[in-house]
Amino acid sequence: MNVRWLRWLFVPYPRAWKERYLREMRLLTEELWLSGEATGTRLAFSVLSGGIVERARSTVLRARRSAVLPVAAAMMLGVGLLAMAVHRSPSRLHAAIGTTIGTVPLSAGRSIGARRPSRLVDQPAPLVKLVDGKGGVLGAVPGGDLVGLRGRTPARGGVPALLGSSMPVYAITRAEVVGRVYPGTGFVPRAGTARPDGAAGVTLPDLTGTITPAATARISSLGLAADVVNAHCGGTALGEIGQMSPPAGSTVRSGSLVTLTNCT
Amino acid sequence: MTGQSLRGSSDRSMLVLTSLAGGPKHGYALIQDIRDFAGLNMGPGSLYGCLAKLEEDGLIEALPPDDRRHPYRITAAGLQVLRERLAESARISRIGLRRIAGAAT
Repeated sequence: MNVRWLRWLFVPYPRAWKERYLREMRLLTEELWLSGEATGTRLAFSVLSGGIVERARSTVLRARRSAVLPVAAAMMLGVGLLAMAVHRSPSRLHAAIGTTIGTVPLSAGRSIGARRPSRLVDQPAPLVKLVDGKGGVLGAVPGGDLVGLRGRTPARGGVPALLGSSMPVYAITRAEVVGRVYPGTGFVPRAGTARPDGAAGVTLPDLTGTITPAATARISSLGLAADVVNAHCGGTALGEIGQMSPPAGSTVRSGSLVTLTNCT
Repeated sequence: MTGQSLRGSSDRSMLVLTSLAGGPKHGYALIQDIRDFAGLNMGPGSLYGCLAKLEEDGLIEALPPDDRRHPYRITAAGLQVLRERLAESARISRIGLRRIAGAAT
């Protein structure tokens, strides 16, 4: 007896289901048909309804799996919003690398600046925190994302300008500055952990004319935070401090930010 | 799958497990056995719906094909689930029969 007509009954079944069960189910259907134990109508109804149920089940499972996509999209949106917030932030931003950088010193001469920004991605720190000038943590983004900020409108003092210039990178432990990274110099740890008495204040020495790494080390040793910006200076040698703010002789509180202008 | 989760599933799955508890069977033998002990004529669609679900849950497993037929056997997990479900059914049956007996007197 010709049982080819049975073939079309299996059309509704999902492909994966067919690969696993089609052969044996067809054999069973043929056996039931040829033995006369079931009528053609009954067989057709059973196989077709089973196919519709399996198809619906497969569709539901696929829909559940596809729920992963909206979650991933939401995460990407979150990262994008963070990047926008960082870019538009009017406060002075610095890139601060996580605590691991303190134990993995960067080699001298390693560029993190504008020419080889991808090097920043190569750093062992898995996450780059963004802090404002007072050490307040504004957020955290992967290092690659931070590099990606380059090329946008270089807001004065903002992250793009920092990445393209002297790139003072703060290595922080719980929002405390423990050292910095300078292009061409590497990681400069903060000297000591004891800070001068904040109530008494710190009188700033005159650092103009000092080479930039030495100046930043001096600032760090005083328990202050140094921010290095690049600028053209007349009459001052390249790589030396041409200007500082607050000026020398000022009394500032411990942990204050001192802006040093590195002459380029 | 636990007995708790099986509670909401089709009774046909329990019939398939009960049939396989007597030894491995292929589809045609399963249909005949279930018809013999339960009086239910299962079609190929509903039978393979049950087999696929039970296999996915690890309660049964396929054996190497015998000629063209594909036998299945119940797993240890399947036996455990069947035991729990039948024990629960037996408990409910006892309670129901006792209440029927009480109502009749």
